Amino acid sequence: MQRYMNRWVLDVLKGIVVLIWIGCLWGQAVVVPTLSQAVGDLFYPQNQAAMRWPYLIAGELFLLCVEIAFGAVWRLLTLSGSGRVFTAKALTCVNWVIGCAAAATALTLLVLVVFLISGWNDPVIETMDYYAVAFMLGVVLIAEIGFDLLMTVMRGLLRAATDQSDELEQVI
Amino acid sequence: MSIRINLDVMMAKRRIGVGELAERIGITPANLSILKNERAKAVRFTTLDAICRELDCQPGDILEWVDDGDRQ
Repeated sequence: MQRYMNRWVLDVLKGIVVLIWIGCLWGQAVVVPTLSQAVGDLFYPQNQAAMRWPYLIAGELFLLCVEIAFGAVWRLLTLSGSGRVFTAKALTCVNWVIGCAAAATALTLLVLVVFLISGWNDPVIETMDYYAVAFMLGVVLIAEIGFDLLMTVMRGLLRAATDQSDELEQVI
Repeated sequence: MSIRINLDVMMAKRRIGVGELAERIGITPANLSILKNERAKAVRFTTLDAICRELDCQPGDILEWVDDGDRQ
């Protein structure tokens, strides 16, 4: 396995994962509450207190999904480095990543639906590029679906490689 | 499966044990035991080549097909 994996690449990647975790924690503590508050104030002056909650909860949960997914990625990087990646453990990690990505996609869909419904008759939002925001959320949603499907393909490749590795182990 | 492995017969003739033969041909003693006890599912030609070289014999001395009527 050593000739396929570069030690340096894995270490730098782990460093980046740590940075991502720090970014997510900061996002959960500072960015999401501030942004959801701002969205509530900006878009819904009439009923601002209520409208920030969907975005706040969705934002916090979304970042939690990212944190969990990168926990699984960290495990995968460790397994790759030690050559134990064609095992059931690695497949479990990939399943966790796909699960978190699917949950994040569902959250994005939820936010999109909330925005579409709540902003439909709101006069303030009409002037604030309702269609532009809806379009951007739609683009993000499609990108997330693409990521989910890509991870599913990668999972298939890992399973194929694991099965082949197991079969080759049996050759004397 | 009806391929018989007559490795122990050949090893007895050449008076060589599992550990020593395994080291000479470059596989683990565990794998050699698996082969000897007919539990192996596949063998490399390089392994077969090494066995025949070390035991000074032909593949047919080690491998034998037996028709045990087990048609699939």
